[in-house]
Amino acid sequence: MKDEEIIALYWARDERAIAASTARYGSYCHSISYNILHNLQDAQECVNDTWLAAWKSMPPHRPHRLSVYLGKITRNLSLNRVKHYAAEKRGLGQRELALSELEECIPSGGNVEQFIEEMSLAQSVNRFLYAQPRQKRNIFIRRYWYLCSIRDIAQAYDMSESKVASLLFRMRNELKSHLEKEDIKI
Amino acid sequence: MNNMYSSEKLLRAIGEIDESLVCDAFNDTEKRKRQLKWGSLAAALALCAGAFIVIGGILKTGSREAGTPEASPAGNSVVILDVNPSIALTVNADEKIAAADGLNEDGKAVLRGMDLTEADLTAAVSEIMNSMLQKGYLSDLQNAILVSVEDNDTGKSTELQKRVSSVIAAALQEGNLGGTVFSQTFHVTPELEQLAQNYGISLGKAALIQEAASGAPSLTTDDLALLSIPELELLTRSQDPYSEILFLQSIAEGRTMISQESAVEIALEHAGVDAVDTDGLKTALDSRDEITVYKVEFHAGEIIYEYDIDAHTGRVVNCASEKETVD
Repeated sequence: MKDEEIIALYWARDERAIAASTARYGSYCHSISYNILHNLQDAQECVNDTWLAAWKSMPPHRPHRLSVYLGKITRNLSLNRVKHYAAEKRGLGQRELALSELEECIPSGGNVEQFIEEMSLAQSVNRFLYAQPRQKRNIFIRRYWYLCSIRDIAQAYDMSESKVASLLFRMRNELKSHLEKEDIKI
Repeated sequence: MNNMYSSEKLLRAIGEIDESLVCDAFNDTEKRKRQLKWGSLAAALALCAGAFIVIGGILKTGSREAGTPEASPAGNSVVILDVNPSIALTVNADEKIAAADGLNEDGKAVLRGMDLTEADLTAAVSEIMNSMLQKGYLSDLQNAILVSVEDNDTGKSTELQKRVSSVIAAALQEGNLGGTVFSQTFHVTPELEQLAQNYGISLGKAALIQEAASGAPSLTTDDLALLSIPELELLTRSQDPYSEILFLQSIAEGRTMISQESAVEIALEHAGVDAVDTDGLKTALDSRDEITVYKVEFHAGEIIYEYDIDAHTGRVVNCASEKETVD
């Protein structure tokens, strides 16, 4: 089924949209979530939650690239989950956990300022990335978008792990200078 | 703490970068080696990276070199199966097998000892699937299938595609596997045959590479030939979200696995240890002697326990314990 057909199913409130999404992008979303969570069951739950989130967001959204749209939802859900687990594991007490849990109550897009701030930060990162050589840029994205491990990136690019680590270290410093130059404060 | 929130914010913002950048990073194959490992991402992709089945409506009989089918008399079709192993089935107008060829070493290994001549197409595909299962080419971790159809008669190729897909689905379910079927149609051209021959790959994969290459001019065919089918599918899809080249179908797992929690409970019970007395619990899905297992590791007092629990039956496949050593 074509992406536009899947999107049409979402817009028509047709539950076959979920099955079609699973068929086409289940493994893609699962791989993103697994990179973050390293747990098959949790990753699967995040993928299932992705379809629910997609169901709630389409309409009004009509994504241009369904793969990245769904992948982004999975990434965010997985990051939320890992943050909650990290708080639990650190034993930082109930405050961290409560904060993490309460985040679920905050309506997405409810805070326009925060959204604009995040978008301007993303735009600045875009400019930084477009200015990088392709390989460096893609290594950065694999690390910080797909959350691939340094070892996996090193294998994929036939580099030593230390080379990847130092490349990313330099890129982070360059990004810091870039953000300062653009007067972006986080 | 502020730094933590700032980096969290940056991580979230990176999630909003241009989609084309995200796609390009995914598709980037520069310096990529033959292993399909893409770290955890590839491992997850490998969940659906196992098998390809190419159904061709090309007309042909007899054996041939890998990826170099010849023209065959009208009324015949060719079915090519790629599961890493590549297999070509020549099918006559009655849908009986006229010839079965292994297009690579794995394909030949799958066909070894099988006589498919005059067998029904569906029976032959079923038998091949069983052979792949038995010989370990299909497993819990490798269970994706590509169905490609080459035929000028679209109706016929679609019909064949559906029929073979359903046979594959049944075989996967009988083998207690879930899976994904990728299917496509393509037409044989001299360029396609050349591409298949150059890389020793099936026409189906070559067709997919051609499609992916047309949308990604920055990548060479050398780069693309190293990619798995699921990766090529993603590349094609990312360049053209509305591409009709592939149709995907998920097959539900025939047998459900026990939960991770159940595996832990089984291990704890076997060890005679109460959950509250343990720490450092780690679990992971793994494969041991072709059995999918949960690896469960935990500490209780000064003892470290390690278990392999059959992920389907809950049987304790292996257990070990040793006294923790302090460095």
